[in-house]
Amino acid sequence: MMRNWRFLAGASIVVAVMAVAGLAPVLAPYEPNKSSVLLLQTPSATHWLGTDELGRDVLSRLIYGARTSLVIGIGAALVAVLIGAPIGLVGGYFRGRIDLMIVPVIDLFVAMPALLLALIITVMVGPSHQNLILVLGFVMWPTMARLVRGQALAIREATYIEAAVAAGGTSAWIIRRHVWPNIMRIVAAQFAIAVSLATITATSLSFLGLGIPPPIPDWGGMVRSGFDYLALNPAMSLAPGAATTITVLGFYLGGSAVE
Amino acid sequence: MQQATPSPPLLDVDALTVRYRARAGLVHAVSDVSFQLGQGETLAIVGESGSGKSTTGLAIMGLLPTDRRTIVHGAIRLTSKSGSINDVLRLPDRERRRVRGNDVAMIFQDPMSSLNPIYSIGSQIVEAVRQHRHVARREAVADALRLLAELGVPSPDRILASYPHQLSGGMRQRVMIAIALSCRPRALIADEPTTALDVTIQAQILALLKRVQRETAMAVVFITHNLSVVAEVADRIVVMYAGRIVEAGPVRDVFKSPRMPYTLSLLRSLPRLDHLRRSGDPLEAIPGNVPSPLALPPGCTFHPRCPHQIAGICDGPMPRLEPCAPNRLVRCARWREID
Repeated sequence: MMRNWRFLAGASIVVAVMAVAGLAPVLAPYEPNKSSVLLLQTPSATHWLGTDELGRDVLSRLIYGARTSLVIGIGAALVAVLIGAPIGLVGGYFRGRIDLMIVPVIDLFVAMPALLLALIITVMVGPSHQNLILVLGFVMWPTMARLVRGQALAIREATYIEAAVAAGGTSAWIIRRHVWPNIMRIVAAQFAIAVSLATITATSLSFLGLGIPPPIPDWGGMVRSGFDYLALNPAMSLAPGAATTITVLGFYLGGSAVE
Repeated sequence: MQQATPSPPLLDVDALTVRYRARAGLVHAVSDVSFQLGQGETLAIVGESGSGKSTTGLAIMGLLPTDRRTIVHGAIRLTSKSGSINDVLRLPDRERRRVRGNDVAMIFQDPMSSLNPIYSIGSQIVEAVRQHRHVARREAVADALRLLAELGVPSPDRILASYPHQLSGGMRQRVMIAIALSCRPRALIADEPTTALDVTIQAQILALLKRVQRETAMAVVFITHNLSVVAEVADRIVVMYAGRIVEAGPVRDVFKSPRMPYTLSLLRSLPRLDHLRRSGDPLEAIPGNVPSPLALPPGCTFHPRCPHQIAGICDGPMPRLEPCAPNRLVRCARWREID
């Protein structure tokens, strides 16, 4: 019951954020990058969240920012699964020497703080949509690989795996047909959690000035630019901060409810 | 040239030896095990846990681990459907997969976990059929239905559509048998197929296996620790102890006059209705434990637990497996004296 409640709450938040991102052109009252002479307005009837230092409508930027957040969060989690799941499956299913090579690499990555690692790599490769997705995915794959490996280790001991081998199945076929489908549900849950982690890390990077280059609206960058004008229009920082929190919470609740 | 050479046995296990290198030392799982099996024959391999019976079964399926910690000697010659004789232990991986399920199939002890919980019964049988025969999906489904009907499963179409958790243990084992039979194998390894089932269901499954065997002339290796099951299904029996064969022969003869003290103790430890015991009389148990395969006792491996053991003889050299009657083998230094 409790888990169900968490899943429903998480899923509704995720669906809401996705709807906002998808319907951004309809929902946003202004062009997100169109500046005006009305700088740093406090919230009013015309600009519900006020305007920023270039006179852009904060609400519109917030709505468009949802796209950036989702693309980066989901993209990075996807990269993490694409790298981590095959490695974890191979290690967990075959064990032996391959596994002995994989495990220390996973441990090494898991031991390093993700944000710091992402920060260093981003400094080296330069910030862009694509790089951010790849870097965050690269930082997160070991967690995914570790989870998948553990599950594969457990499932390979099931009698139906032995039966599949006894029936003459190849390893690739057994992994695809019997091991992976049994892990997918947990990977899906971990995927949602990875999205939340990627979102928060991406926002942190943006806040540190290493995120999406302007003028693309992005929550981390918005929090940062609003930081200098907190006294004038606090909504500039607070609104994207709250949006990030809610989105992260949504994915996290959804994912952890399944696990 | 010899005249009228008997056709080679379907399955010929020849001096099979399996050892595992463990951290604590060398594990002697199976030592010098040989037996033959012809078409339509049922051989029971009997022994306690750790006697090497399951390892022998896995070896026949070519399912032993192939890492460097596993040492396998001997040969397992299997006559394939095409008539060629292959040594399962030496086949390349690809060929070995072709043998599995196709020439020799296996059913397992636990029907609860031998089916993948996320697929319907139908898709699992169809999958097994299509593993070795390139047939259309529809044809495979028809095959599955026919198989289940043959096995006496009521409303097979309903069973095909259901998932493992919706079926009883007996029904699941029937499904496993259907999967094992799907490619019409020439030999079947049954590793304690009825141990996890209720007694009434056990009898049904045994009867089913017997019927299928009669109809298909399949050879069956029945691995079990349950002697009453052996009497029910097997033609010949191989008794294993600590990785070695200690007695072998026709079931009837071995049960009537066991030669090896271990077999005798096994038979005596069975509860029997025709020998009514006074209430409170304990069943006869074999004293001591199965020796660790890491440190086998010298000489006859059973001598520390044997009521007939004599110092100087039984702890001397390992007794040979020698013929003691027509078709019978025994490994005991004193079988002539014990009766």
